[in-house]
Formats: sequence, C-alpha cells, structure tokens
Amino acid sequence: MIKHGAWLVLLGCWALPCGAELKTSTLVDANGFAQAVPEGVELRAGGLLTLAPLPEGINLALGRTALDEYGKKVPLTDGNVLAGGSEWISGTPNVFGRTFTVDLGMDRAINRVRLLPGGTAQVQPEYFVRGYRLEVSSERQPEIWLRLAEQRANFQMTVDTSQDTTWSTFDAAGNPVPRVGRYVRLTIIREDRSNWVSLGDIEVYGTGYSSEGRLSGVLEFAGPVNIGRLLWQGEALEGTQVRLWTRGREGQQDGAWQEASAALFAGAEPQGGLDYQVELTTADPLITPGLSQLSVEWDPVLVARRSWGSVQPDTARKGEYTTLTYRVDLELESGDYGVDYLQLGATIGVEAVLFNGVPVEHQWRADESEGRTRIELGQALRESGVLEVTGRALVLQDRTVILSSVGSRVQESAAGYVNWQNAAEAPGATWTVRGLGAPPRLISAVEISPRPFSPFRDGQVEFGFVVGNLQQETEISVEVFSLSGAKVRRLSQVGGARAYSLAWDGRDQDGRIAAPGLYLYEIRVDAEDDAASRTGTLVVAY
Amino acid sequence: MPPAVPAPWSWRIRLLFGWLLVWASAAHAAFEVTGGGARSTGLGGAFGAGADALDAVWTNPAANARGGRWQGGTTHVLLYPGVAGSPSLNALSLVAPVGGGGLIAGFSALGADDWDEQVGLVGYGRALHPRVAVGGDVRTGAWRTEGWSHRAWSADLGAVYEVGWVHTRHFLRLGLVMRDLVRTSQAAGGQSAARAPRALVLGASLNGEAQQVLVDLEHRAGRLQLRVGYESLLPNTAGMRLRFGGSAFASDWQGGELSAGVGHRWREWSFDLSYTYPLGPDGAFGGVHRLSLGYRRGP
Repeated sequence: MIKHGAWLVLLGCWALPCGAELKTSTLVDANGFAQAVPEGVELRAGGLLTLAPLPEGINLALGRTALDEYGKKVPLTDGNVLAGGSEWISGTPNVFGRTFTVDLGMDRAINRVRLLPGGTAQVQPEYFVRGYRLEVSSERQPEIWLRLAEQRANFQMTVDTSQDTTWSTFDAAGNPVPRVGRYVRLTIIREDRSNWVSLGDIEVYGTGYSSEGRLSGVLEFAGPVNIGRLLWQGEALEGTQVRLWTRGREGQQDGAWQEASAALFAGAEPQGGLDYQVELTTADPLITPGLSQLSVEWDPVLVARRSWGSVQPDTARKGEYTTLTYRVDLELESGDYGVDYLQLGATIGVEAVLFNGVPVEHQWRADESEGRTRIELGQALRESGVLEVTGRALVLQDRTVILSSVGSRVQESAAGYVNWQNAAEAPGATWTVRGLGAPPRLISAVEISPRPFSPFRDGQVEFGFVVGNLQQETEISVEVFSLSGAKVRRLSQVGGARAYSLAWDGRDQDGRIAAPGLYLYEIRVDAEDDAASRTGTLVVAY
Repeated sequence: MPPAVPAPWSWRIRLLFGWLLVWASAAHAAFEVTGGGARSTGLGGAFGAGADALDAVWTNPAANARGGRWQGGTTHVLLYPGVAGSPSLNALSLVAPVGGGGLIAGFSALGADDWDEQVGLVGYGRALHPRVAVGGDVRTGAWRTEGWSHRAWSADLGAVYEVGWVHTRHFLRLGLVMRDLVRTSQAAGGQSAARAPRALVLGASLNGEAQQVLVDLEHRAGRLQLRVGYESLLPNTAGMRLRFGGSAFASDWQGGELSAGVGHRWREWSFDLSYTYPLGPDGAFGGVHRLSLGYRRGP
C-alpha cells in the first residue's frame, strides 16, 4: 500500500523534475588534487596546498636591474662574466664609496650573495674589489639599510658570503640567518692606489617560498550541467593571496578566464566541463598561503536547456535614462526546472515583462549597489519562447555589458540558494550597450524625496543622484546641516559611477530626531582627479 | 574656626543651574535664525550684555530698560545665496520708552520655496536700581510648509548689571538671559522630540572710548558655546565702525562661525552690514549676508 506521502512524491515527480539534487565534485582536499597540474605549488601531508619552497641555487638577481649611485644601469646582473664579456670597470683607482644596487623585484629571504670578478680582473687579479659592504633594504622601508656582510680586506677572487664569516647573523647551528629585502647594495669601502676595479656580476640567492604558484585542472561532467557554488577553504595571511579562476569548456565566447570573486560560477551555462586555476601569491618570502579544500557544486537538471540574452537599442546617451528592451531567448525541455526568476546585470526600472508577446505577472527589485535587477515571475515558464523586459536604464560608461541569468524556485528550495544559470550572448545580436556623447557630470539628477519629510510618517528621506564620469570607486557622502551651519548627520557610501540613493532617517549624530525646520544638504564626491558637490535645502516637518 | 555657612541664596542658584542644564534636546531647527541685526551678528552674536541698542531686542529683554528713547529699524538677510532654494529673512525691531522703562517689539519672517516661519516678540524692561535692570518678553513662533503648520509660544527673561568703570577708560557691563523658558514643542503633532531646549546666556561687554569687546557664554541642549566680538571705531572715517566676531562650541568646531561687519551712523540713522561664515560645512554653502537700517531719536 502506498501511503499518502509517497503519492504526493509521485505526483510531484510527474509535475516537476525529480531525482534532482546538487552534486559536488572535490578538486583539492586531503586526498590530493584531481587531474591537476601543479606549478610552483606543493601538496603537503594533510591536504594543504601551499607555495613550493624556492629552489636552491637560483640566482634571484639574474636579469634584474642593477644601478650605480648615479642611477645609471650597470651590467652586473646579466650572468655574463666571461673574459671579454660584459663587466663594470671603474676607469680610475678612486672607487672608495662607489655603490651598486640590485632590485630583486620583490622582498626575498636572502641568505647568500656572490661578487664575481669581471673579465679584466680575471686576467689581472689586483683589479678586484679589495673591501666591500653588502646591505639590504625592504620594499616597505627602502631607505633603511641592514648590513649583510662587510669585509675590509678582501683577497679572494670571488666574494661568497657563505664563506664569509662577516655575515650579520647566524643561528644556533651556525647557519646564516636570511635577511628579508628587495634591494641589495654593494659599497666599495677600500681602494687600491694604483689599480682600477673590475666587477663581473652580483649574484643573490635566497630561501623561503616562491612568490607565486598555481594549480590548473579540468573537471569534466557527464553531460551539460548548471554549475553552482565554487567552495574553497584556505588561509591567506597578510601579504598573501589565494585566487580562483574558472573558465567553461564550451560556449565561452571569448574563452577568457574569470576570477571567481563571487561564490557562483560566472560563465555561460550549461557547461560540459570546467577549467580551473588556483593561484597562490605571497609578498613575504617566509610566508605561504594555504588552500585546504576546493570543490564545485553542480546540478544535472537545468533551469532551461539554453538561454541567450540581447538588448535593443545597443546605444544610449551617457548620463540619460534610456528605455531598453532586453530579450532572453529560452529553450526548454520537459526535464528542465523551468524559469521562475530572471536576473539582469544592470539596474533597470522595469516597466513591462512579456513572454511570447503576452504580458507576464511579475515583481522586480533593482539593487543599485550590486548593479543588478531581479525579476520574479508569477508563474514558471516551462516552454521555449522569448522573454522580453522593457525598462529604463542609466548608461554612464562607454560600454555596459548586461549579462543575464535564469533561476528556478524548485531548485532554490531544494538547494537553499538560487543556482543562477547564466545565459550566453545571443548570436547575431549583442548584450552590450555603447554609451554615446560626452562624459556625464560628476553629480547629476539630484532628487530629494519626500519634501517635506516627516521622520514619523515617512520613515526616511531619500537622496537620489547619479554619479558619472568616475574612473574608480571613491567615497560618496551626503551631509545635512542646520540653517546655522551646524552638522546634523553624515551619510556615506563607497562606490563607482552609478545611480545612488542614500536614506536619512531624520536622526542627528546622537540618534535624536531632528526638529522641524529647513535644513541644508551637501552631496559630495571626492575622486582622486576630480571633486564636485551639490547643495540644496530639505524640509523636516511633523 | 567655625564651619563656613553657605550663603542663603547659593542653593537657589545651584537649583537654577541644575534645572537649566538637565533639559537637553535636539538642535532647534525652526526659529534658529531670527531678526538679530547686522551689528550683533558682525560681533559673532555676542550681544548678551549689549545695551541701549536695537539689536538687543532679540538678545536680552532687559538691555533697553533704561534707553529712554525711540528706536526702530529693519534687517534684511540673505542666507547662503549659492544654495538652490536658499531662504531670505526680513525683520522689524522697535524700542519705545514707556513708564520709565523700555518696551520692545520684534517681528521676523523667514521664507524659502516651501517653508515659511515667523517669529514675533513683545517685552518690557525696567531698571530696579542704578546698576540693575531686568526684563522679560513673550515670543511666538509659527512655521508652515505643505500640509503642516504649527505655532509655539515661549518666554525669555533677562537682566543687566552695570559693573561700572573698571578702569579710567573702560566700562564693564554684565548680562544674563534665560531663553525659551516654556519649552513648548515645535512639532505640529506635539512630539516631545521637537521641544525647544532652554538656554542660559552669560554676557559681558567692556566698552572703551573707541573700542568694545563682547563675550557671551551660552549653554543650550547640553552644549556650551562661546561667542566673542570686537568693535573698533575707524579713525578719519566720520564714524565708521569695523567689527569682527566668532563663535565655537566647547566640544568641537562643529557649528562654529566667523563674522565680520561694518557700521556707520549719520545723525539719527544707522547703517550696518555683516557677513557670517559657518565653519562646519567647509565652505560648501557660502555665508550669510545681513543689512540693517536703524533710526534712533536723539543723540
């Protein structure tokens, strides 16, 4: 006998895709990493992926820049020390105090420096350095020099600090303790009255970790899937970084790697496979970031078999609201979830939603800070067709790419989150809007609503405005003052060029509701290369 | 040695100060800018001990108690002219000798696009002693905007104490003002959040032959504000006076301002200009311009 609950399950399987559950593929964990190519990284016992130790015997100065005290480039890092090859020769016996600085490009844990004679000194040994001081300074404090070694009477033809007892610090076992630094400086502290000085190369060796490494791999699926969250666990101390890059194996129009800064896969879907790359970097040679686990969630049931996005018109005046129609071509099959949600990668004031030309019941919400608009359809779309969204959007940039994704309520309730299935750009059309005209003003379209504003009736007053022509994110602020010029409240947000809406609840900086009256406001944008402010009045009444 | 016996009035003074300091509330936005003239604002608003002057109608009801002559004048104010929709203010002030004392009256109207507020006051001051004068006024303020309006009543008390000649050429006067004693709500719905905070002002003015220094200390809504003004007669200018002033809160510079002004008197007529620059908004709004014209019967 089948119980009622089982009947309900069978009924559900008939009406909706059943057996669908999110799968997880683990790419890196304690068992190793699957089908991946390590480069400059190593997997430790316990499953921690770290940067590989710096190989011994690598000359870190090779190919780097070496300058004398006048800033002139000198051939001391080219690896050529043969007789007749490149060398630095003084041309005078007066060499006391001459300095040469090698830039290693980043901080390194230096444990050995070698000075090699130039071709002339190889023939005439009296032409080599008689006394030297070697120092190092770090990237953070390049003006502070710490001594590595100093020899006032050198009679060796090759200076090698591993043989030099003047190395600044040794550990208990008598090994030289490395010094962290980016710049290595040689100072000649002794001169021969009658001989010039000939130098061949400065070699620098270090220990610690490689500055960067990566793990590249491929994840193949049995069929087209909707890739979900990319989950990873790791440890990145200050100065280190773990970054994850992904790329779909098919349908990726430009084939570009995308950094997985958000939890969800960002490329077009469905995908039959996924290229991934984990990049570990460190600015401190003695510290490595670690990655302990990397996994990918994926759903074998699709929201739609395929979806393509495009926008019309594909041009708009910069800084002006333009009515756009975004078209999503949907291809669905019976086993798909169906489309309940549509997400557009731009803030659009939605005016109409049509499916195959018929109006669709919907609700929408635009998130200015995320630059997204989410549309929830009253009823799921279960057949192929064309979904069109018409609305007003503000174009501020030269190029605005409006991506789109579709989602499902069934999938959301099963997995606990919406696994957006990203659309691809429609062939023969575009989802990019080109901005025309001059760059918009830094602050424009200021609207304060409501006026008058009552904290008790309205709750909050919105300062709406558009920030345009801003190349990078900066602080956007609104300040409210009384008529006598006393500051009542400051609101601020960090962001780029887009529409803003900052809300004031009518309370002053101490949390007290401001008294009725006429107030002044100032909207301010302080960009690095530009600044602007707009002022006006607002009325508080209750 | 016997223990010191506190003066019988000391507990009353403590009680008075305690009562005044307890009531702290939000900044009073409406009626914050009223009809004070260009002379007093050019002095940083430090006019609590100003006396026998038309501007004192708005600062101390006892200041004109021993004036003994008719005075009248108008003030016109342009607030932050660079700000879109900025307001303007017009005011009338009057002093009349009545019954051995001074009757004072003032009216100011501030208007912006969709905000109007008016303040009117009537008061009387009288000398009780050759050195002491007291006074009081009743003031009403009304504001109106789209869909809302409200009228509130309040009262102020003031006193002036003539300390006298503290030096052969310098005369010292002290003033005390208790403002907004009633603390009625400025909200149309009577919300307590909008109760006008009481204020206590202690003022001093030191007058020389051609110079004057004024200092006010005001306690309002839990904050202490210092106001300072300096006036000097410019030589060879037929009576032109130059004024500087400033104010600042004890806790920070928020709400502080700097002022400058000039004034000239020709027979019974006086003409004053002032410019006030608030320090809080970092120059975003500009300043406040005031122009006052006054008439004073007699020397």
